Amino acid sequence: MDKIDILKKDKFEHRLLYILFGLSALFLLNTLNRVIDFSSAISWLQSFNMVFLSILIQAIPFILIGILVSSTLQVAIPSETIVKLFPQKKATGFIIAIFAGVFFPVCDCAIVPVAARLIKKGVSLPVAITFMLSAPIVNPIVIASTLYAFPKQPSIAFLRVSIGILIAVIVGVIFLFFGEKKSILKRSLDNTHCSCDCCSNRIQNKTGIIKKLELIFMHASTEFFQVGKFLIIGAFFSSLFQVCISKDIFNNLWGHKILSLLVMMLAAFIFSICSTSDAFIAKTFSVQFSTGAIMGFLVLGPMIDIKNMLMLLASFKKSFVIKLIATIFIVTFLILYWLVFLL
Amino acid sequence: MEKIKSGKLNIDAVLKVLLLLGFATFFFITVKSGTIHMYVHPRIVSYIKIGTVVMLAMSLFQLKEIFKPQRKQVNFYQYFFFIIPLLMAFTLPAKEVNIGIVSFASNIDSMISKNSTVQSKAQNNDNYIQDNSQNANNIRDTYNTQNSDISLSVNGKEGESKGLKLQDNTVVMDDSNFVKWLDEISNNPLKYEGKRVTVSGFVFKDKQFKPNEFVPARMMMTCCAADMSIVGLPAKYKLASELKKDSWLKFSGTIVNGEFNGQPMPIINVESAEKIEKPQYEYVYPY
Repeated sequence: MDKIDILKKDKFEHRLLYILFGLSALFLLNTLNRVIDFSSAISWLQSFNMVFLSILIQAIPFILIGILVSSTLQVAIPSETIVKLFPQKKATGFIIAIFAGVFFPVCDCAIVPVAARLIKKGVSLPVAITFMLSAPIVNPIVIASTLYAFPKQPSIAFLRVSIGILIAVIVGVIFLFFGEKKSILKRSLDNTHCSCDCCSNRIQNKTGIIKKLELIFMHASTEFFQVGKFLIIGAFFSSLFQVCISKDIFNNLWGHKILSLLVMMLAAFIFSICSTSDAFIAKTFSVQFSTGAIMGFLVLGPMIDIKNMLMLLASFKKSFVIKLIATIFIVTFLILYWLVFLL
Repeated sequence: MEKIKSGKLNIDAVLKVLLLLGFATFFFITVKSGTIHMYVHPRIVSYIKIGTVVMLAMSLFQLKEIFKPQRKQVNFYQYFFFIIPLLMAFTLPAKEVNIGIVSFASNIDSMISKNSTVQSKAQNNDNYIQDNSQNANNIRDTYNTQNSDISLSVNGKEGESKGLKLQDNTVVMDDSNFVKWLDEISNNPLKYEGKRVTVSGFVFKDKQFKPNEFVPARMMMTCCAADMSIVGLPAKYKLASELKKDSWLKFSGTIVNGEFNGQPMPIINVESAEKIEKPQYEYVYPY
């Protein structure tokens, strides 16, 4: 029974591959149609290549850091310690989740493997979700870069952090009440067949440092290939959107407050810019868009985007990921809907 | 635990090693050759080095597995996703992102930051040493200069705390301080009214511009090539219509408070222009 389920999941990946090819072929044809001469097409491909690779180059080191942390948690720290750190009692759990993010000053892509590992180790889901969503926003580097990008407007940084925490807590609480009864973890080959040493909880006390280090790296490389695949897909689609979408979209939004907010949120999702520097991109939008709309960009980006979504798919079931993303989008939109008219 | 395959070579481990080494090699070559600057912001370079070491370590540990029997069924299709970027990385040469292609880069309204107010001292204040004869290596060196506050006598006000200094009463905007000067001038239009300025950049023209209008622009990168945007002060020049788009020139002129596109803002009245070589490091950085 197990093996059949797992093979079905692999079919999903095959289908993803075909869809990837199909879509990119379509985009390619579409752009080639708009292009008259062949040299422009080559130039287009080179630009796409640069954008695509740059996203990967920038993200891979942070993913590796996140994976190393996750693997260390798995191999070296017993589940009991971790669960004690994030108390099951929801109120304190949430508070700790919010501030735990301060100790992870890394790109938002590094947070996903860590959060997934926490859940696998037994941390309660709502608390882990709040951690995953708030960490990229309370990240001190993110706050610093927001302050730097909007000088003499510390209100922007303040709003970003407070709205971000608010949304993270609300989404966590929603999952508290509408909890997942069945397991949300994706059952992949490595999860079920990981009866090798690295996944056994019994080894922590028995083995020495060298052996533990070896296990951490072995585990990290497995995770790298699981997660990296989705990172690459995410970067591919994000780059495709960036080189294909016409920039005129941004010019036609004067005065449409709600539409601006939606466009900004969608832009944050699609462009998948690292949270430590998306403030500068938001700055370039600040000329045309109201502060409320920019908040949509600043607050949604760190929490969820194409890259993150695909990395979540590496560890969690599709249904859960869809629910999570929909909840985040709706909560963010509802909260900012009111602010757009005030700011 | 079943030993499903017990051939001589564990193909799964071999593939992992090859892919990890492939990425590590690509990173190493790109950093070594300096091409990395076309992909990402200089501050990321240290992280790239860490990443390269980690991937090397991972591949070394994987090497041990090569001769052990493969433990479980492996989906080889997943490695396909890794081969694509590696192929692209090694076959397509690195090149500057084409301005017209990246989505939000040529949005002209985003170029001039109207909302920016006077910059307060930023916490990590990497001061860019202003240097007229800007050598390409200075980009990395000036970036690494730690907080050395260049105390300047001339005006002793805000701009100077960031290392911005007038030379012979002239604003010199070049590779290392382009964005800082841009913000400084946009925020203090009155302070720089009438000052002379020299700026090096490429010619950017938009359909909406009048024939004598253009922007001596630079591409600004905040994190990686995916987020580039065009920045610059708008300029008016009677010979602007003769300027070829995307050509690199050094312009001299005066800063005045005029209007551009219907908005009041500081602009440059260009008096002369000379052709220059495209700088080795094209991109400018906001920090």
